[in-house]
Amino acid sequence: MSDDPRLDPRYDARLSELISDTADSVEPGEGLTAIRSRTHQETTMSSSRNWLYAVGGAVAGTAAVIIAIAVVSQLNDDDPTPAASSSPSASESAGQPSESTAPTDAATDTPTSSAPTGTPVEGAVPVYYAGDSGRGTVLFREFQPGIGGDPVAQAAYAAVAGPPLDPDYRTLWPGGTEATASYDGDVITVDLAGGALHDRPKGMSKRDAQLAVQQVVYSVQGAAGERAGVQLLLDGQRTDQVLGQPASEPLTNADPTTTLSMMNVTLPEEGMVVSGDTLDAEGVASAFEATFQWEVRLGDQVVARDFGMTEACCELSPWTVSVDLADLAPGTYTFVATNDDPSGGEGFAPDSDSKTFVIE
Amino acid sequence: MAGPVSPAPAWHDTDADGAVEQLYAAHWRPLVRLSALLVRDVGTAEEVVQDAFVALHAKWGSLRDPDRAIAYLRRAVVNRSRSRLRHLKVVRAHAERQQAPTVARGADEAAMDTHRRETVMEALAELPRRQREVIALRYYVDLSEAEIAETLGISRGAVKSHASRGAAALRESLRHHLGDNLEPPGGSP
Repeated sequence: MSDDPRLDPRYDARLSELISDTADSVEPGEGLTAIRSRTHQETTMSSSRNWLYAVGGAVAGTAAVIIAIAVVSQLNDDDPTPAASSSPSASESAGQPSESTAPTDAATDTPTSSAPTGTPVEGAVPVYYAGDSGRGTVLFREFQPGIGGDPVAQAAYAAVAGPPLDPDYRTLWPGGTEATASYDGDVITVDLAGGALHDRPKGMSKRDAQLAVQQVVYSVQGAAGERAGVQLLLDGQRTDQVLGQPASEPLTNADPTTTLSMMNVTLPEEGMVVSGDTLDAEGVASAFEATFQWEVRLGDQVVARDFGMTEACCELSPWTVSVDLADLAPGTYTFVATNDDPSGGEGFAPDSDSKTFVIE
Repeated sequence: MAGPVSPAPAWHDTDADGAVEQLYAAHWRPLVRLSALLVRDVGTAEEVVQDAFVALHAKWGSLRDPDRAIAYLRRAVVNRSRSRLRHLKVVRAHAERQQAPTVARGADEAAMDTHRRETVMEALAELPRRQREVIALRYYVDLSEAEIAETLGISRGAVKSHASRGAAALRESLRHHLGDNLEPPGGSP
C-alpha cells in the first residue's frame, strides 16, 4: 500500500468517470409529493397517534444522542467513527433545546412542558431502571406511555418511584422517594423528596448509589431529548450530595458502556398482546461485530431463534428483527435478545434482555 | 452540488416548506444517486433521501442557510444509507438463501453499459463501509478532503487513508474498466 493510486491522475479521472456514470444511470422517481405529505403530517401530528408509534421514533432519537455522547472520548481516534457521531439528529440538536423536532426525535423532543396536566397521551417517556447483567447491575431503558404533562417530570418520577413495567427491572431509590423535574432549555432541575436521601443508605453499595443517580440523569435527559446538565435538589434546596454522591453542580450522564445494558429490548413491551403473523421486535444494542442472538421461548422451550444485527457495530445502536409468529399457537411467550459472546464463555456473560408477550 | 444557489433567494425569510422545495429541485437527484451508490438499491435510496428532507424540514428553523442545509442533507443521507444498509444486508442474506438469481446478459452496447455499471456497484459494495462512503463523496459528489471529513465526522487523515485504500481496491476490482489505455504506474500490475 505504499503507492498511492490517486497520485496517478489518469486513474483518478477514469475512476471518477466510472463512478459518476454509474450513479447517473440511476433515475430517481418523483419524491416531492411524498416529502410534502410527510412534512405536513409531521406538523399536524396529533395525540391520536398510538404512543407505540412514537416509541419507534424515540428509540432512534435517544440512541443517537447516547451514541454521540459515547464517542466524545474517541474524537481524536482516526479509526472509523461510530455511526451516529455525525448524525444530524445528534449533533445539530445540541444547543437548540426546543427547536429540534426531527421526526426521529418526535417522542422525546417535542416540548410539551407547557401542556397542562391531563392532556391526552403525547408520546412515550423513556425511563431507566436497574437490572442484572453478567457484569453486575446496569441500567435498562423502558418506554412508558405518556400520561400528559411534562415528560421530563414524568420520567423523573417514574425513575425513582417506579414501578417498571418489566419485572426484571427495579428502581434503586429508597421506597417512598418522589421527584418532579423541569427543563428550562439549559439545565434540567430534578427535585427529590421523600426521606433521608442526603447520605448513602446503609446497605446500598456505592455503585448502586451512583447508578440510582444515573437512573434519574439518563431518564430526564432522554425525556428532554437533550444531554443537558442535571441539577439535583433535595426538598427544593440545593444540596452538596444525594445518596452520598456529589450533587452541588449539574451532573452529566456517566459513560454508557459501563452504565447501560449493551442489550435493551424496546418492543415487544412487557406483557404486550400481539396479533397477526409477525412481531417486529426492536431495541438497542452494542454488540460484538454488530451481531446478536434472539429467541422466542414458550416456557423452557425455544420455539424460534435467529440472529439480528444492529445498525452499527460497537456502540449502542438500534436494531429491528422480524419474528414470524404464523406457526405459534396462542399463549404467553418470552422474547430474549442476547449479545454475541466473543470470549466464547470465558468472560462475563454477554448482556441480555427479555420481554414477555402474549399471542392472541 | 455544493455551490451557492443563484439568484440567491431570501433564505432567511424562506419557511421550511419553501426551503425544502428549493433544495429538492437542486439536490433530489444527486442525493438519491449518492445514496444508491451506498445502498445499491434505488427504492431504498429514494426513501433515505425522503427521510433526510423530512428531517431537514423539521430542522429548518435552526439551519436557515442553504450551505448548512445541503451539508446537513448530505450527512443525513450518508448516515441513513448506512443504517438502511445494515438492514438490507440481513434481508438480502435471507433472500439469497432462497433464490440465487441469474442475470442474463445480452451482448449489445446497452448490456455492456449495464454490465459495467453493475461491476462498479459490486466493486463499491465490496469495499469496507467507510471506504465506500469516502469514495462516493470524493468521486461522485466531488467533495474536498475537508468536506468529506466534516460530512463523515472523521479526521482528514482518516479520509486520506480510506480514499487511498478504497481507490487501490477499486483499481484492482475494476482493472478491466480502468486499464483501457493506461499503463499501470510503476510497471507491471
